[in-house]
Amino acid sequence: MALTLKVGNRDLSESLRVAHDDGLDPANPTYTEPEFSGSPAFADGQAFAGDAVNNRQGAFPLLLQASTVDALYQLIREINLELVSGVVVEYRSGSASQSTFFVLERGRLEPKYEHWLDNSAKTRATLNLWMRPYGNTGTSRLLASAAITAPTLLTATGVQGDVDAEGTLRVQFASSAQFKSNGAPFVIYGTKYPVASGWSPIYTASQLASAGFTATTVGASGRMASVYRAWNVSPTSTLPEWLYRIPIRRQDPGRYRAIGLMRHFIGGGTISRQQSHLSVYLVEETANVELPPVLHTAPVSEILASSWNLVDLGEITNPRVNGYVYVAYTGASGASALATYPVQFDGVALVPIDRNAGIMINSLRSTKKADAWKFELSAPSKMVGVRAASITAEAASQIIDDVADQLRGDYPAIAPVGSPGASGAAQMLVWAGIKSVASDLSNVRGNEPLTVDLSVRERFTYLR
Amino acid sequence: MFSYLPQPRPRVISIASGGTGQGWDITDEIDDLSWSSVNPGGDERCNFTLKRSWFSDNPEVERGNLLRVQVGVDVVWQGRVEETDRSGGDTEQIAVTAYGLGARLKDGSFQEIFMDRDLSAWGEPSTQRRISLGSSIRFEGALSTGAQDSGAAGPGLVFTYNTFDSSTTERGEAWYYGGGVDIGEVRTDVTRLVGEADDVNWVTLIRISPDDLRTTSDDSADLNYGNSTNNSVSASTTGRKYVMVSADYAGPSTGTVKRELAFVYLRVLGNHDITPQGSQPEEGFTLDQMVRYIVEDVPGVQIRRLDEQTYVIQQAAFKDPVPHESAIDELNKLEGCDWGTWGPDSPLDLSTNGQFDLKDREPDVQHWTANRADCSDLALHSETATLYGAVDVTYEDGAGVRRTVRREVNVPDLDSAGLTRVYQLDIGKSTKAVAEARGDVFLAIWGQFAPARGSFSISVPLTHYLRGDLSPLYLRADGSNLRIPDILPSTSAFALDDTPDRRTTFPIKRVEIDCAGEVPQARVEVDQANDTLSILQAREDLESALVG
Repeated sequence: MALTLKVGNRDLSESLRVAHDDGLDPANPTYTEPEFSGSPAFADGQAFAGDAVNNRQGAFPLLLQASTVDALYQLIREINLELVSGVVVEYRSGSASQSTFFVLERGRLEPKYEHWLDNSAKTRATLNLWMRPYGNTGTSRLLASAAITAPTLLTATGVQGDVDAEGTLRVQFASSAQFKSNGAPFVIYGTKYPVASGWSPIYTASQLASAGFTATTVGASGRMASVYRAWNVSPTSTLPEWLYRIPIRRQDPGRYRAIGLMRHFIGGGTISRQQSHLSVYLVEETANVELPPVLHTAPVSEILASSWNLVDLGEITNPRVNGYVYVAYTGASGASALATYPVQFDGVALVPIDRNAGIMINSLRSTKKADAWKFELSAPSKMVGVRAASITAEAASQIIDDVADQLRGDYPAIAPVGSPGASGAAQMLVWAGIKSVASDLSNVRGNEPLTVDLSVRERFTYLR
Repeated sequence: MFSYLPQPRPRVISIASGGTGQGWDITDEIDDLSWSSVNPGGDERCNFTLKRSWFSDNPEVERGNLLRVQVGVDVVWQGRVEETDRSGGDTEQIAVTAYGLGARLKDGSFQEIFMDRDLSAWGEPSTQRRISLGSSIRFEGALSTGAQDSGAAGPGLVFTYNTFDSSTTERGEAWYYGGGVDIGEVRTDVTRLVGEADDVNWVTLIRISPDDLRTTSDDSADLNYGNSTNNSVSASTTGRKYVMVSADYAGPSTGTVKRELAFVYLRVLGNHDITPQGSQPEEGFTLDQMVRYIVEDVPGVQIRRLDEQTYVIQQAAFKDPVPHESAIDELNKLEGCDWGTWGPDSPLDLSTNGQFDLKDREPDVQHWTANRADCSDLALHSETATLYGAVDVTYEDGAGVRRTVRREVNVPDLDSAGLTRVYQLDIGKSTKAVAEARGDVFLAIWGQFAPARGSFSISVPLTHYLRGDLSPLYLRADGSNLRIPDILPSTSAFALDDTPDRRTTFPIKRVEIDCAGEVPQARVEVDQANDTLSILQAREDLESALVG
């Protein structure tokens, strides 16, 4: 393979000077500095606080030449004009099999005037490039794709590099007919790495093991696995009524956000519905289930009655124990049951949030339908955030809307295989669907047919 | 199994005012980001610099835009852009300051009469009123207020009559004006102070009127000259601004005859429909009831958590307009709860409202833990100035004699310093048993250890008691406490007491997160000072005012 240096569309490969003392430094590794914090008076040394990651500065010594001196100066001007933010820089050393790509922030060409070289329409120059710190593969490649009807796990296998790869998550619905009037898609995702064998964070209705209160499983189209689970709770009971429990394992430590899909038929005054609530508890296997601290409380009044809602059951941290997450319902005086089984769950997902997670639930500002939408991260220009795009265009026009402000969380990123101390693929939990009314979380189908694709652009701290 | 987690980074989102407009992720474009929170108050301030041309259209930093700082799926700060400062050094830049949505509690003004027992607010009828009543009415009833004698309990308005004739109606009349606030209800007992029997020649009424001339009114039943309790009259409509109480004698008695009639526990309620707590005539409202009413009056702020309180506040009236925040602050002096306005705590929450919390303090919960070696610039100041080994409690007994009792406790910190410090506490009218109990409460608060206050910085993860190890980006002054377990002096290092160690647990008063450096740093201000005494004193002052 030949030595390569391209800045945008300009190929400078032939101009590179590669002698030992020319100063070629394409991948200056000093752009990152570890930072430490703490008081040396109280300990030996200080704790690591984080890395300060700056732009990478690369130095490329060139010998520029042209047919005439005027043409040489014109060449210098043209190169300067091309050194703008967003341009892609490609570099490959003579023996490497693949190029490494960088995103330019700013560049500066420093010609060195040497009279006799100038007379010959030549000049030695140093091209200084300040680039985003991590090199990348220059392209996104598909890692995983699945046709699904429920929350799913995507296995992100074979990710190269030594920093998290930038992810692109694309969700496409089967047809525009899936959108109701004013419907809006939502997506919830979270990445876990490393992943112990048997990790299973998605629970359909039949997997919600009863925790003490009688439940019934009801068949219904539109639900995950076509069933939901229902509990005959007393809406006025002021003691917690245990609905179900979800097992957790010591092999799966970390922070999770529990998201449920549920509906209720609890009536009564505003105060009694506010006081009716779901509570979430974390209980170790051998602990007394009666006295755990409440992790989260979700007032029933904030959940629209009679329609299927996405519900936040709060953050749960597994401190590396075997145990259970319990969900209980507590009623209030004045509340009333409007159905025989007033509390119903379609399913629950424990979304991992301590590495990389995002939740977007109001992705469209317009009332126009969109058949697909995706996250984009670090396209050839700077981060463009999130876009919604129409694939099968309505009225032959594309709808593109930057909705980065509606993303709670981080842009998708996937840990590379072979990170220190761990191996094996990362897994991404993805839960996407449509809510029929853009302004709230209600009327969500549990088994929306759609296709999910995960692509990555791998990144490197040095060269590829 | 070791796993390196990428360090969390904040994202800064700006949303056009109104909440339904365009939004921008400006994380990549700003410098010197910092944000802070304070207790009480909530999200305080957020600052950053935007290197942009002054003259370009910068909708991302328009004043009024909603600003969010997110870490992962959590919103760690939320507020609105209020200030922009343009400057130029090496490049043009705009310094932006946003304030937490608690600022909405200062945007408007608040007036309400929850319950007003202040007898000094009552006065004589206006001149025009006297003229309009004509010469057939003689204002014989002299008005007085205060604590009562002759066995009648409670403070009240008293009309004292001395001379009667048969040609005029002897009247006592007093008026109350609520500062323009609508009156909802008036309650009172009526007690005959002089005289032995009811007399139907007396017409005694409570009236709620829209003006000081009683053009029209909502009237109570005629209470004559009898003893009656729990009388009330409610306003039938809005716009009732005045209350009048009157007692008329139109009977045949003549000559010098003393009569005294008292409106005891006279109290005015605004038109707020809050259900009073406690038993009449000493009912009132709890802090959470009134705070709910106040916050619900503020657009853009909603109640998220409101811990119920039990202390019944019998006097709370805001007749002069004040900011909503001031009203909350004033009422909270009687409870000492933690309160603040925050961003949403659920990633599914789309609203742009501020979320208001009023929480009981949790002095025994160690929400955060950090080792002193992880802290930088650790500076704690403790002193004996607020440490006492004895208290002299002064009170006035039932006979009006002022007496003093001394209560003492052993305080090792004072003993080792060779100091004796005595506090003087005056509790007004009381008994010996109550004075002794108050002294013991005082010493339980102030006779333990010298409270410390100060600050420190931290850039490494701390341990949260429920959430595990978290970046300091998640720190907030939301009523949390922080424990530094290895900060004890050596004499106490092996204490075997299993009660929560107050000495090493610090209530967090303010947190500032500074992202201007190479790594984010949290500056934490802590204060162990206990304001339980000031709460007790505030309640004492309130109750003393009520009994006169």
